[in-house]
Amino acid sequence: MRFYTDALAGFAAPARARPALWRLLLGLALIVAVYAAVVIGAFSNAPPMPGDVAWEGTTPLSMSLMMGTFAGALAGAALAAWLLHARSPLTLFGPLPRVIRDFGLALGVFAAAQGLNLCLWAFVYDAVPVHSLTHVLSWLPWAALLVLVQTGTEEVVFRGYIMQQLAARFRSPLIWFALPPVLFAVLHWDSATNGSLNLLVIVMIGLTGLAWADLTRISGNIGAAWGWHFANNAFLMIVLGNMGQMDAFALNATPYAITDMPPLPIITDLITQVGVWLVLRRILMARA
Amino acid sequence: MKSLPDAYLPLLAFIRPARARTDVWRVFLVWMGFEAGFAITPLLVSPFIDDRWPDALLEVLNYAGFGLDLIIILTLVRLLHKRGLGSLIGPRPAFWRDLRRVLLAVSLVLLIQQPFDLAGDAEFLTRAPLGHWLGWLAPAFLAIALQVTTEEVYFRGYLTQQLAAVDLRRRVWLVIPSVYFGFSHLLNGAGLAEGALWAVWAAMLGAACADLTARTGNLGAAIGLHLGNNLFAALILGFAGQPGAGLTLFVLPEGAYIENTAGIAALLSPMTLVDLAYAALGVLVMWLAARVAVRA
Repeated sequence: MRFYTDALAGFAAPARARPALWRLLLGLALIVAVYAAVVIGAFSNAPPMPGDVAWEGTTPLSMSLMMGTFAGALAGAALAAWLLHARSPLTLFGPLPRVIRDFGLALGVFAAAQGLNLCLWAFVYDAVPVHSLTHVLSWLPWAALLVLVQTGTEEVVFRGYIMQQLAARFRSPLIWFALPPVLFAVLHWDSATNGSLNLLVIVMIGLTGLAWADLTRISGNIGAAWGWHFANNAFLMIVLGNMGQMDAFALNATPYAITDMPPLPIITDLITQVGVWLVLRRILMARA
Repeated sequence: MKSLPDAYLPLLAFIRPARARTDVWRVFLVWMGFEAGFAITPLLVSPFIDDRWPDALLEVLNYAGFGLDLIIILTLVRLLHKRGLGSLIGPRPAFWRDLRRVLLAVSLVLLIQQPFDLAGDAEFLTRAPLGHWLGWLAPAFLAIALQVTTEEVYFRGYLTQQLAAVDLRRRVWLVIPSVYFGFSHLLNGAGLAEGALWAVWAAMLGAACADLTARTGNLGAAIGLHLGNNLFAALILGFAGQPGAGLTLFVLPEGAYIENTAGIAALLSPMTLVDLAYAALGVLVMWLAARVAVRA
């Protein structure tokens, strides 16, 4: 199997209608502009929130605003595809039946692996209860929808729009394969939240981005990457969150903040992610 | 006998779905049904709406309310002509392509024009809070798109197709729907004179849309022109105290403009001629831009 797979060529085919680089740059500017407009619009029309609560994600309202406004970037990507590249926004996902199938597959594999990881984790650490089960269950459909929108937007922009347009324009994997995850990781730069572990967090996110790009390259749609990303974020926001961070819908939180995460969970998380990646790419390659 | 200029040949493919049932009484019934529905829907909706809601919300709901009229049209056309939305808008890929091209072209033209339009009143203009304007931008865009689509599906989709299926002369399929479209804008103004100007302007816009539809054989260009025009009209400049000021970026405060409540006799002033000429030029420029965009 060549690195630039036939599946990838098919995935990027709709991007070949208007592949010029200036269109991609203008499209990215459009995405940022629409996202910024929706964020400013939503936050300034929302009921007032005291102090920094708006961006901490510790109340359902602030979580809804933070995650829901990602729809602005999704709309921006759809507009960019349609206005600037003469392609249907649906082609940003890949063939829809496969998207759904691979989404379910990745969701299942991640859930199994993370379940195992959580069992091991629970031997060593005690989760801190955050919200009651009734609170979590009653918010569950809304929280799941928010995570679906947020992760769907990120996958559509990074694995869909940017990777497709770059793959339509360049052969070198350094550009179409490596560049989007690097950009994705750099955008997560947040030394205030992540403290001394910031660089480690960025590297982990970059590696995960590469794994998602790899699955997309093999399967020719964003389904597997989206399903994994969705399951990962849903776990963090609903099952076991990081202490004091975006926990409005969470059942439990870790007993440590992300700034002083011990080495053990870092290692087991890394092993879990690598395991999920290896299993998924094996299944997807067998199908390709 | 040659009744159709070569440029309008795409119209023939566009009206093919209308050829199955061309009886005039069917068109008459759809027309009556639409007018009745258009008159009744506000009465059905008003009990659920509170006038004390913010202006922006009321205006978005007002635009979105056209969605009900779209349902009425589609139901009537389904019942009386046994065809659906797909047959009213033309081939899908060409529809989206022409919509995209014309929307871009007309928006570009209006974006260039807008500062000149606003410059004369620059000293009086107040700007709405940016956050408020941005927050309502997306809902307003969707609601206005629904309004424009409804009007185009009825006037340039349904009426143009059915009338052209009866008679291919331009005065039938282009002029009649445009004049009808113009008359339905008669109540837009504060007084009858202003309303008459609105009506003439709308008839010109309708004619431009009908012309583009015939040149391209789908509804995309017409919706693109109409949408570009309505977006700029609804979202840029409003007059304080009048309907429509809740969604605009700039507001002309009360007292800075003169409300034209004059009767029909005021049409005979030279200023109305200037107004008309200016409106006609505006439509002409948008129409030319659209024709360049779709290369027709």
